[in-house]
Amino acid sequence: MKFPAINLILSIFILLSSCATKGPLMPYEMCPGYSELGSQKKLIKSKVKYLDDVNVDIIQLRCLTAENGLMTVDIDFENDYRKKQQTEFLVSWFENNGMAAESDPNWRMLILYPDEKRTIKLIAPNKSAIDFTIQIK
Amino acid sequence: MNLIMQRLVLILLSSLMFFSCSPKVLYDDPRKVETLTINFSSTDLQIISQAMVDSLLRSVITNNENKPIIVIEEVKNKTAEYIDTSIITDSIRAKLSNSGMVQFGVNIDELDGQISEIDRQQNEYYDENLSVEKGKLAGADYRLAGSLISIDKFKKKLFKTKKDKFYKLSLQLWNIKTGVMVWADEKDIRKTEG
Repeated sequence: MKFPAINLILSIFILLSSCATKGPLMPYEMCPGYSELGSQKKLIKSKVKYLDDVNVDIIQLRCLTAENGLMTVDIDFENDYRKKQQTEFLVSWFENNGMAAESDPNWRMLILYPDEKRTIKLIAPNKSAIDFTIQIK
Repeated sequence: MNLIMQRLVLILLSSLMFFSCSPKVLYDDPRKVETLTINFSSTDLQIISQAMVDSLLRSVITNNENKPIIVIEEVKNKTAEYIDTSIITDSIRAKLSNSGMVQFGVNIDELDGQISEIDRQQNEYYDENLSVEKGKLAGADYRLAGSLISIDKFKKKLFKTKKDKFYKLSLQLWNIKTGVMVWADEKDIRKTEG
């Protein structure tokens, strides 16, 4: 007698869960390539290239397209070493077809104190810049 | 014979010395971080201009469908150093212009050149239909102005001097019609030597 009731509850649960709509995307899910890669770790691996042995890590990337149509990116840097670290990073922007969106980006300098986490805010150089890569040295 | 040999050796030695002392010229990456001296450098220019452009592109004026027209005034140099601040202004203007979000009007320094070109086209040698008319210059919506300051400190030690230099670039964007400041930002740079 109990089985039909359990079956009914289970069916309703399955029905409800399948009908439930996904909530708004988190900023890290909005980064280009995240939907294919599925994780923040893989996203960072695909976007960040270390040119030297640097003691600075990127721990999260968050992306958002602003009201004016320009993509903004938050990069969370972390120095989990016991010494002050000075590093340089270069952000290259790309258009939809993979063409470079900015002709000559500059290396930016970053100083991080021991155990410091710092968020660097970037904005795309124009509306056609929809993807990016980061090089660190 | 001996004298000739001596002279030859002397010429050879001096030419060797000349070539070994001449500095080697190499091309280098203009984007790399430059820390040759404590004074205002190309890296400082790149840091402050990029920071200001990023901040301006995040501001409300870029939400406007009609690209607003901005006139840019030359950044005032309030430091003790000689810095051609027109490179800061030009760099900011080029980056903002390439963003496609704003337009730039003729500023006060460029007005004479613009007027002289319009006047030249009124000349009898120009085709009337292909010449620009007078009175068609677009007035700007906003005025971008600012200044660069520095605070210099040094401390003499026994054999060397420790120097500390602090730069601050402040920029403001004013609505020309209302006189209201619609955006302002600052970027700091600190450098030490010794």
